[in-house]
Amino acid sequence: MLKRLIQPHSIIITVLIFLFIWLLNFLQLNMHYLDPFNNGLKDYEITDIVYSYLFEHPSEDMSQIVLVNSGQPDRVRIAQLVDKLSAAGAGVIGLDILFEKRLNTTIDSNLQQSIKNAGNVILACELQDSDGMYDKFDKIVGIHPYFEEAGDIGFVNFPANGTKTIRIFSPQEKVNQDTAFSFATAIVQKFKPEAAHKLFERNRPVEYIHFVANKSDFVRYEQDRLIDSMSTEELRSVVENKVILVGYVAEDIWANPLTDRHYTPLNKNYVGKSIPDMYGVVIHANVINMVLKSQYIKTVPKWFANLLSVIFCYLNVLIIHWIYFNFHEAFHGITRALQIIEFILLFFIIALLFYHFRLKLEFRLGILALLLAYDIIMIYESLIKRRIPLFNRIPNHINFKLLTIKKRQTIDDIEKTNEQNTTDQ
Amino acid sequence: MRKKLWLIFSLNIFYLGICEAQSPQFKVLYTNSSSGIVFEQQGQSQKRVFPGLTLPSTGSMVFEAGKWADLMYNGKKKRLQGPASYDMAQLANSMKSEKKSTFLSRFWKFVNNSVSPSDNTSQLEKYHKEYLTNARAGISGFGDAKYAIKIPLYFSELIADAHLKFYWDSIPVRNGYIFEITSRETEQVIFKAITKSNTLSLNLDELNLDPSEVYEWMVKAVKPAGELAVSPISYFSFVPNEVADLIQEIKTDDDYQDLEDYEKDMFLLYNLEEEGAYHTAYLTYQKLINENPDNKLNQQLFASFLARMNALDEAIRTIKAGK
Repeated sequence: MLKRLIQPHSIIITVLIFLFIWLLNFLQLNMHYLDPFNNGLKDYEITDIVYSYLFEHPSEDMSQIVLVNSGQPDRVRIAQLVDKLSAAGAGVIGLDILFEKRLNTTIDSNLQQSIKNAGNVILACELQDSDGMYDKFDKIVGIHPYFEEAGDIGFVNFPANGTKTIRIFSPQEKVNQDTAFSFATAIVQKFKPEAAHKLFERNRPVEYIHFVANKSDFVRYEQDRLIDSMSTEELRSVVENKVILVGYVAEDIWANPLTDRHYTPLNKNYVGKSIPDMYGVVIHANVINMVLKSQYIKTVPKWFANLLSVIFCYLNVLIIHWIYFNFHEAFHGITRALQIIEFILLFFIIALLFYHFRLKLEFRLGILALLLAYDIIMIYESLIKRRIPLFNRIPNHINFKLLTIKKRQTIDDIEKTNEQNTTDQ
Repeated sequence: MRKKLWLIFSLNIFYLGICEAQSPQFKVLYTNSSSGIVFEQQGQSQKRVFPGLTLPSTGSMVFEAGKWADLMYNGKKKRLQGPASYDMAQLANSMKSEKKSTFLSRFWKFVNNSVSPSDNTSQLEKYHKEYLTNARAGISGFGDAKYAIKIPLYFSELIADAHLKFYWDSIPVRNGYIFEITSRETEQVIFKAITKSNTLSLNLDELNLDPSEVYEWMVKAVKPAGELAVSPISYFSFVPNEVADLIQEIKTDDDYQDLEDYEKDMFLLYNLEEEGAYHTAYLTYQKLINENPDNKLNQQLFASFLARMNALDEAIRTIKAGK
């Protein structure tokens, strides 16, 4: 068994595969312009498919959060809204609106008073790093100090890459000597402090967002309808002890489809061109839901995923190598079929782990190794072994039996020599 | 070991029994209107339906035309649209019977669909007919079936004349048109009539309308195929004194006084339209044309006014009559 599993040539090929991957990674050539498909795939994860195609939305009850569409925000109406929500016993009111400037003394004063009176309003702000060193943030912007003093604040920034797909969020950041909390974290702190405590205990700089719902899965209101046509009692039955998020979440088909809309893993067009799929306030809602229910995404440690990739690659090399020697003529077809089956199986396992256990297994390296295995074996067998005689001298198998006998013989020889020496003396 | 397994099995059955006993309820996620959607249950008064409300699976939901709501039941979403009445028990049964797909079936569907014939341009060319309806570059125009009955705008805003002859575009209908006037504030129907033709003469004085209130009128009809056709809602206030005051105010304006006689008419008409006294402007245009049938300018201005009032057919008739 051991003889079959440990084969020197397969070990060399595995090393060559990972050397090749390392070299590609080391060179960091951006050749995506040659291949538009890869350009689309640059920002893609298998879990995106799980979210967009394999999850059924809504996958759970989201009635703890109510969304209110502010439309184009009007400070008079927002003050009225805060008063009304507060009177109806809303748990926390999150205003995902940046009040950057003061506009009108009376109106601003009313809004500030409403926020102060409610006592459970979280306002949006932004983090700014003036020196561009990205070690820490030095400024909170997007909110005027006049409003900042009226309620608690939370930053609405999300880490996003070139394609602006939002997958993770940062629970808290250092701003000079102070700690600033994200909008969602600040809301949970107010609404359910023990859930926020759990989040801090995890002590992770960023958390993957567990996206379970889009706009249509939430209870949602138009701001005007809520203010003008709902009695306080009616409203109480809907908002009492709930998280109310106010932001731009338009229903009207004529609304601007790009205002505060972002790409998330829920986008069905996970590669190539598409329209952003989720409003910012809905992303906050997903984060809040995740933290409130402690449904965090678990990640397999990188070292373990890499170790799995190496073992997976080596086993594949062994099998493909065996096919190469035993079914030489059909080698190409069998290997490609095997790769496709393995790829689907791998995809299934990774998706299943994520779907049922929210366990994220980063297996990119293993998949890349699987794709390269066939070609590297071909190169090794038809080029390297033929051109470099040293590799030809390496045996196909290590004979462990022989090694054991030889080892035994050596020990016996030493013992014999020792005995001989003793006798001579 | 067997005893343990038996215990787990029994607990599971017990748990499932509890779940079954707690029958799920409907959750209203969104409604497109704050009125016109009600929930009725035997022996109880009607309840207004709004987002966030939880409804039992007995009773019925009644939707007026153009009103809709998104509901969630047993983890499944459904949009209900009016005009219609939905029996909640029936709805619950049909939603319960809808099978939820499994993870495995969704996975297979995804893998299977990944290799579709339209994956590259040449394949798309080959199968273009199959994929031609996937994308549409354009928007719905004014011929939207949402408002199959068109109404002129000059029966809206400020109305001063009590004797009105409402009219709307004629369409093929099964039995006739239902004409309704409702109070915007109380949502009470003030006047309702069924008429065979596309006109209705009405004396607003008889309706005892409050000048400080806003009323809405609309027309509904059932098309021969059974679909409901509606007109847009038109808002108006019956304010004879206010319009009279407005005319008086315009006429005492210094600018008005300085104008030539023919200019005065134009000035008055312009201001009436600006202030929303469309019907008075409409009658004034008609009076002007009757007084001087050969004045081409008046005819063109009236046609232009009618076009602005969404009465294109009448505008065309006016231009043709002037030729």
